[in-house]
Amino acid sequence: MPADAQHGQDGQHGQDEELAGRVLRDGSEEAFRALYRRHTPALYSFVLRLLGGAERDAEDIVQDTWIRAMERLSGFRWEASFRTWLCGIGLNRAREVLRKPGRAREEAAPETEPAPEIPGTAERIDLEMDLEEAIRRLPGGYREILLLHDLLGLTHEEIARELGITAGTSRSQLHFARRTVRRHLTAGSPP
Amino acid sequence: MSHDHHDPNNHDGDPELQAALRRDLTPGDLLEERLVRALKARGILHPPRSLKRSGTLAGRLVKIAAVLLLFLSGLAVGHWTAKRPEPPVVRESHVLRQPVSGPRQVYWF
Repeated sequence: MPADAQHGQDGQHGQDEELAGRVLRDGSEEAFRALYRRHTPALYSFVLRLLGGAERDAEDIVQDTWIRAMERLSGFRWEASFRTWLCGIGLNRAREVLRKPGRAREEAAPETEPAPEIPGTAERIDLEMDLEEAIRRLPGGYREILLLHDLLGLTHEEIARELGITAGTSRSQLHFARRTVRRHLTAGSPP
Repeated sequence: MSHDHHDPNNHDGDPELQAALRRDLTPGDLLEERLVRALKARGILHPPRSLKRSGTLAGRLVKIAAVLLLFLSGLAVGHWTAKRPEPPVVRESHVLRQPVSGPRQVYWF
């Protein structure tokens, strides 16, 4: 899935606005389905990884996110991309789920010293197999920044606004998150 | 929205890692239908437009005009009927009555 950076170039922003307008004006099911199919894969990928791979919870959150988004659609000002706004709602919903008392989560402690990288290792590992586990092991805040930046394409300034942190913190935590993921991947690969 | 993957603070970006990260995962097929039903139940989505009201704005205006024309035609017919001259009343005295004498029998010799 291309990142949000391509929204303006591809005219997707305008198409989203047109589809959303039809949903608001006519309650158009067809327009909603088009919006759903454009943005749900990215939203689901984002939420599923935030939750550490809990598919059922992720589907429930995706559903809640779309319902909340449609209920608030008339208030959306289109200053950000529709996907960014949608995933922001998804992020808040996922945080609510993660804060539930019954949900015990194993959070890895932040590491201050990243392990040295092994040159060429990245070519020998199956990223798609191990990446999900590497992301799951990241501490929550680092995971959010990695996903917001590398999956959704938000800038550090946008992440800072979304998470209530500084852009510098976002940069340093992204750096840490990437190092940690890479370290996990290299550690799990054959020598 | 813009990427800053090429900014000076973003030198540790790993294209392969990012490509793997952007691999889309998809939810179950039933989620879309479940969601559409939920939005319909909340009144956010409506039945397809063709079932609710058909035609364009011009078509709807023509239909409204036709209904108005029909109504005005009915009004005019009613008005005309009320004002037209009454037909002549046939008086009972003018009615020729045949004497009721039963069937007449004529005998020919």
